[in-house]
Amino acid sequence: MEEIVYYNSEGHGDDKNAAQVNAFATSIHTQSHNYAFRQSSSYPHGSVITGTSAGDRVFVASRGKALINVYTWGKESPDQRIPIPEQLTSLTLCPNSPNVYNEEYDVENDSNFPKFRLPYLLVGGGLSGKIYVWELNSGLLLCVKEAHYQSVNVLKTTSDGSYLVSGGKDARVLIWKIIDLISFVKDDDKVIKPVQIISDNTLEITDIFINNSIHQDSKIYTVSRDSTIRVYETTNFQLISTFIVGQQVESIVVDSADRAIYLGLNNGNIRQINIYEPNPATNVLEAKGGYGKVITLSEDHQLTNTLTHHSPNPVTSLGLSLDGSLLVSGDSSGKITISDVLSKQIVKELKELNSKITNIEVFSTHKNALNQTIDKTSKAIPPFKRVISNKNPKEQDVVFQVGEDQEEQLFNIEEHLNRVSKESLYFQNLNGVNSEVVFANDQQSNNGSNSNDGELVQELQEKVTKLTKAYTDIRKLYEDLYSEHTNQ
Amino acid sequence: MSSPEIPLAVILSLLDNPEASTLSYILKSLYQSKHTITKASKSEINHLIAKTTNLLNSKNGLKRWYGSHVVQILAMNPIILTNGGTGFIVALLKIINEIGVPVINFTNAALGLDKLIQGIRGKPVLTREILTPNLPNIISSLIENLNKDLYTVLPILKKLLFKNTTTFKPFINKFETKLNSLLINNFHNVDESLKSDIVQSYAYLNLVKPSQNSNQGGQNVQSLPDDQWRLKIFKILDELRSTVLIYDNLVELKNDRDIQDLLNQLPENESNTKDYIFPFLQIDLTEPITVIQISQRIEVLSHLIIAFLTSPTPFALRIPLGLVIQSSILLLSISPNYIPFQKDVGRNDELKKIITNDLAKTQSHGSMILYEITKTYKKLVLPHLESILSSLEVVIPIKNEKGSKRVKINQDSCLAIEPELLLILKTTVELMKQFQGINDLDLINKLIDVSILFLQKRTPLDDLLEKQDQKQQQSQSQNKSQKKKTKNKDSTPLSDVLSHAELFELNAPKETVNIIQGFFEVVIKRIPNLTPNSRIKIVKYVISTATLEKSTRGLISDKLTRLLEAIVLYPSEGETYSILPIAKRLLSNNEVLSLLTNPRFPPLETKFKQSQIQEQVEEQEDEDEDEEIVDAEPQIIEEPKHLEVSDVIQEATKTKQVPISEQETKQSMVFKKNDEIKDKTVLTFASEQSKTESEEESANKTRSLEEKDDDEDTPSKRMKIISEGSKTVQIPENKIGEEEESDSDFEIPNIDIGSDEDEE
Repeated sequence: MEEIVYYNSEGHGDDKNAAQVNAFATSIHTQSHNYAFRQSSSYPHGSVITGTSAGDRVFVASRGKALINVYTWGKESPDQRIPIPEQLTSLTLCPNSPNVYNEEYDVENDSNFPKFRLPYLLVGGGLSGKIYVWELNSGLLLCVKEAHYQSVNVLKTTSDGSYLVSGGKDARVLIWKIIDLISFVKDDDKVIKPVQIISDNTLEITDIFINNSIHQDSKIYTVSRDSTIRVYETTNFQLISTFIVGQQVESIVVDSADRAIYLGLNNGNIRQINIYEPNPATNVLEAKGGYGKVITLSEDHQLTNTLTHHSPNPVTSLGLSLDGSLLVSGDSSGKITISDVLSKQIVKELKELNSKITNIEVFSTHKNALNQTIDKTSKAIPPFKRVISNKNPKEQDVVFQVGEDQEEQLFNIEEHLNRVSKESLYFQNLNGVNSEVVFANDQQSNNGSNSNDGELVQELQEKVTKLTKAYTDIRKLYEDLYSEHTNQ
Repeated sequence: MSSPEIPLAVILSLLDNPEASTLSYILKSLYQSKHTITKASKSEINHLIAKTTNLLNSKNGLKRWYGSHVVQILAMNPIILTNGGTGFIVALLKIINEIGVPVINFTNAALGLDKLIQGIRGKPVLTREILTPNLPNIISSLIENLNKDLYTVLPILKKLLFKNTTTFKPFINKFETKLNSLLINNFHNVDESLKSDIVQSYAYLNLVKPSQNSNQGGQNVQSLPDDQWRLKIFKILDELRSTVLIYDNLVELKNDRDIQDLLNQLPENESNTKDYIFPFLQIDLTEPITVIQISQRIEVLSHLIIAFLTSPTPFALRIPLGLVIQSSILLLSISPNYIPFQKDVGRNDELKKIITNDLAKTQSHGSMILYEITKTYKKLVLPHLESILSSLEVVIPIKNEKGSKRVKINQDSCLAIEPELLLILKTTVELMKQFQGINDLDLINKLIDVSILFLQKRTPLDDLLEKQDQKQQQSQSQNKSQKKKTKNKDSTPLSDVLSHAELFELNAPKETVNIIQGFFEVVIKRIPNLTPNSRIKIVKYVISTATLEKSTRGLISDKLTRLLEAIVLYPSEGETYSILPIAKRLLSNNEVLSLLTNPRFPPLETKFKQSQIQEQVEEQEDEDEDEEIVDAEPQIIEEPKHLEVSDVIQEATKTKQVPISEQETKQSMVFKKNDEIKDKTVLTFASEQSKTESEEESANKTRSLEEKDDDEDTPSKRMKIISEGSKTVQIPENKIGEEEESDSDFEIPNIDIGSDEDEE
């Protein structure tokens, strides 16, 4: 077991030698596994990572350039620089379907991950407010949508990859059905609209979090510079509750069991909101909020729910460890720390990046997966198309690898012995008659029959010639008779 | 201590005199006590190897069989592999190549080879020394004798082809001819596993084959490893297209614009028919049965396409997924429901029926491709969703009743093509799993109707009874006495049918039920906006079947349980009723439903500190107790605290001037303002209180009624809480102290004790 945190920064100044390290991936618990990524400066939420084992990739929307840099996990400089129509400010991935159901009739599917694997979609939000959707396996640009009036600050997909949520500088949150965005269209007049437009906020949206419950229970958390945290449900996108803090909110992360919300504030504090707290009157554990309630959080002078170690630099990015007890936080100065959420103490400080932290992602992996040799010659992903191609379904040409089946490891001796005893019947004499059929030498008899065949053929041929001869004789006789008859 | 391992000497002696009865024993000992061999001396091991080789080399069938089995087990041991690997391989090859060897010996020899190769594979030195020199021989003998036991040899060859690509290269053409003949002649009379082995081997061939046209047009294009693979897919698609075009002679294919569009999209390479796998088809319209060759050929081609697209490969390939999906959509759209027959076919009824049936088969092959692709490529299929769904829909036979707007499914035709429709169901399920929020529900509604139809009891007698009725009617018009006669004659063998019709009814096959229940589950989970009508159909089926199972077998099958849970957990939009009570009754002891009715809050982090806090509290309690002893009257201490809290509320509202609209925010604020310790004690109080409450809940239930009367005297909300405090009075004595103490930090109970006293 190992936990790896990937963090990326905005970068600073000119990167003349292309030597600036803007991102790191490092272990939370040990000193090992330090990977650096060069030239990976991005806007907030402008980089995504697919995982931390061999064959995984990091996508970074380059800041200041209309490029997406693709890194193979473990490599320092980008493998591919893919030109795109405009500068992207945010990126997100749509996974290729985690298996939700286990059907009884297709249990045989136990293949390993293939070496070459990609998530389904890469969604990018541009400076102009457009949203771009690429299918990674084919590189097709499936959709370009003018979504926001200003740049797209953050993009997130639901855990099942059915909905896309985008938050813009224009203070709006849009929710899209991914199936609408990616369909090949036959008629041009079909307009793709977001399923929901949320314009409750007054200032720009800085971060969005979607928890990973089933669709019916998922919640969308949005935070904004207007100091509010709003929680929406995903079935009909109703506002469930609103929290108001005294500070502009820069980032959010929510405990995976929905126990607490952590907010990165503009004044450098990290504020924890416990979602369940005992009601002081009844002493029963109650959920905070719900039914559209507005909850104003008071100043936490006692610092019972506040971490202050980033102050005064705004906390721009947050992440949580697997068990939810370690909070990884990065601020605008590039400082990144791991702190314990219970004791509110700093556990570890990670390598600083000297510029605003834009992304933090925490992965838990198994050592086996980590120790896999990193394939430096992995196949490049298909370059992204710059022209929208949703008219021609046959153009979809995917690069894909099917994972090899797992080798059967253990030999089932009982099953084998079963077969042995079944086969042994072949050699056993069960009828009690003690006799043996002795075959004459097979080959000889075969040869014999062959020669017999030859004789037979000859015989028949003779017969045929005989008969033909007889026939022609009779025929001749008949014709003679006939001509005689007609002559008369 | 003696170990339970069987000594090698015993095994060796048994090997001298092989008998079928001792084999199991030897195999098991060799397998289980691996240390026997590892620890054995060099000479013993050589002895073992020599004896086994002798067995293999003997002419006796039993001895050979015996030896092959021993080799299969020994091949798992590295020491034996190193010492005797080559010898074993040579001996086994001899058996394989022998003419007229019994199948049982051949099979086991092949399996022995497979085990040896498996043991050696991946180990560099062993491979170099033992496997590589022998591999060409192995491959050529196996290919040569492929037909002796297809089921054993083909998988072995497939593995070799996949893992030892380079060595296999010289034998590709030989292997291909063998596979070709299997594909053309014998594909329809082998079982599914062998079918998939055949097509997969065929696909791998094209991975190994050097690409043929890498230097097309004189340009020096860099050839990619998947060129040949890709080329072959295009060829198969082309062949598929040309096969589909045969239907144009039977139905008016080209008049359908959609199909024409689809046909135009597929690669066209008419000139190169010589590359086709299959020879020309001969179809004779005077012999309708020859028509089925078309769908049979399409089946083989579909299997090939699936193999090319879903076989594991050592590297990533470029797959023309869009084209393949378009092809399968083409297959699906050739629907007898919508495309009219050609004029000259129209008169021959028998031919028409066979064509209709054949078209349904062809459609199901299209659906099969989609099913397999969706399983492997998952969401990559989604961009095509719209056209896939609409083409799946045309497979379902419908009847257009005049007058009614609603299109109904044609039940008889549906039952006639049940397996094909089940494939459609499976494909739909696979697609539905990929996303949430389907827009077009036509297909789903139709499929639900079809499913309900399939789930009903089948009786082969419906038509029979109808006939009977007709006959009766006919005879009624005739003479009465005559009628009696005929009726008696006809109905004697059918008397059972008339009197006990239910005895002839059969339940739907298990596989059908399985697939349909899986379909229902996905529908319930993925489509919250399902039309109420369809949803009720599903719910009705689920509940009645669950009740049936419960009453006849006493337990409900896993799938049905999951369905019941799904219906409870995934209510449809705007649903006002829930089947929770029904489900709870049917599924006792169900974890999910139990959790739903008794929700547990996720644990808070603060609970982590509980032990500390409790210690603190206990200390406080001790102090309090002391104080109590001194003061005798607890109210005095607690009264000022109450004041304090109300002051705090006032202060908070004054100083902060935050608009506090609701009671609850006020309360939470109060606690924010209080110091930390107080906050924590509140927490501990909460847990203790809840504990005692749950313990005493049942006891209190009856009492609470009496208490309620008391409550009515107390006007404010705060007083209500007081009554809760009064509950604790009835708690056994040893607990009373604790309760009151923990209350003492808290303003409310004070009043309650006070007020109780006041009342008294």
